[in-house]
Amino acid sequence: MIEHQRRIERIRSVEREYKAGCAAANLLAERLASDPSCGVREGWKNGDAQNYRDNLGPTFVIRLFAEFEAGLRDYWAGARSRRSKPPMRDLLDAISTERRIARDLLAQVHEVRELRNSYVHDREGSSADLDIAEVRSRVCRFLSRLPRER
Amino acid sequence: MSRQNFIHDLAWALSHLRISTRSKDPLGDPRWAENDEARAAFLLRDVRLKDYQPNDFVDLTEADQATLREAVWECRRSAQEALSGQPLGKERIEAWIEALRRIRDVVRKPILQEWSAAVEALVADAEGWSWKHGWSTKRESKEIDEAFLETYEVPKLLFHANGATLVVDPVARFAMGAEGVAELAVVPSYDHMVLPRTIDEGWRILSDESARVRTARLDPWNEGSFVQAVSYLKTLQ
Repeated sequence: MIEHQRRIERIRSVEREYKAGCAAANLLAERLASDPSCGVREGWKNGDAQNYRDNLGPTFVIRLFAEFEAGLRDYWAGARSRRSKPPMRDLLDAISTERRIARDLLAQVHEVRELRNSYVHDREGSSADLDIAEVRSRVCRFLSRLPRER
Repeated sequence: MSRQNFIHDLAWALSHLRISTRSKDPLGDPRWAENDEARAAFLLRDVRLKDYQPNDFVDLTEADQATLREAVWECRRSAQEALSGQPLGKERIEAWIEALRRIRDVVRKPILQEWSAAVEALVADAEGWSWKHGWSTKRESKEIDEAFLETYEVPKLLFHANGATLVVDPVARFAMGAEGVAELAVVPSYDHMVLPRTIDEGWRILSDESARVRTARLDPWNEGSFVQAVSYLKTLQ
């Protein structure tokens, strides 16, 4: 089991990786501008570079949410000794009720969950875009409401 | 209970409305509804007012009771028409939002007064107990923003307990499983214990010191529990 603070650090590192990924995408775009066939020589097409850029946000939201979910499931199974494996929606509601989490924060985290689901299930238009800093902020605020493990 | 259910449903719906519309004040600044009436009607339909009972609000002035009654009626009528698939049109959507705004404004006033008094009592208790133990205290003002109550100010209390700085920090009036929540936290780690409140039972301390318990214990909010909670949190600073 990973302590919440370490989990929050991991979530922050995922966000930093996303920023590194954005910088890499920019460098790649510059390289393609000066050498359009560089990808072909390395086994990929220019369209793959565009897809990489377009999918960065969703990919990292999914990763970040996976860390968040793992943190909550650790808490549920470890700290709270529960054997059930509720769906994420129910898990969020249950932990929020137990920890008396503000309704506004819970609604914000549910929105992140729906966003993540829309990416995983390839649903378009079902959720508004949130930038990764906002996603990180919401899930970290939620995790910080859990008690410390000792 | 129907009054509390009505208020909870309203608070929950307004949280979602704020998020869905990306508007800090979806009822006071309804520009989000201008270009897509069908979506606006869809979102507004979620603001269910099924638990409204006029008798639950007899403590309001007669004028406020009448405003509430008429606004709820307006909202229910609009929701019914929207559910039947009728396009409502721009003016009806505007009237619907305006009716919801009137409901929120009428109900918000007593809730905010009652919640502010509860926070004041919480802070005063902690302040008094701190003085008794020779701990220095400092009140500060805290701004809270909630979808239902919007931005308001309440006091929070910083105190120094034998080398440790702690804070009694109000969080929100609308929380899951409580009618208000605050935290007792130690600085700088901000490890905390939750202080939930219900209208019937007042403030409590959610005592789950090790976190390795299946169900957290609710201790009474009194000097003994407060001092015990402070002692525990000091070990986490």
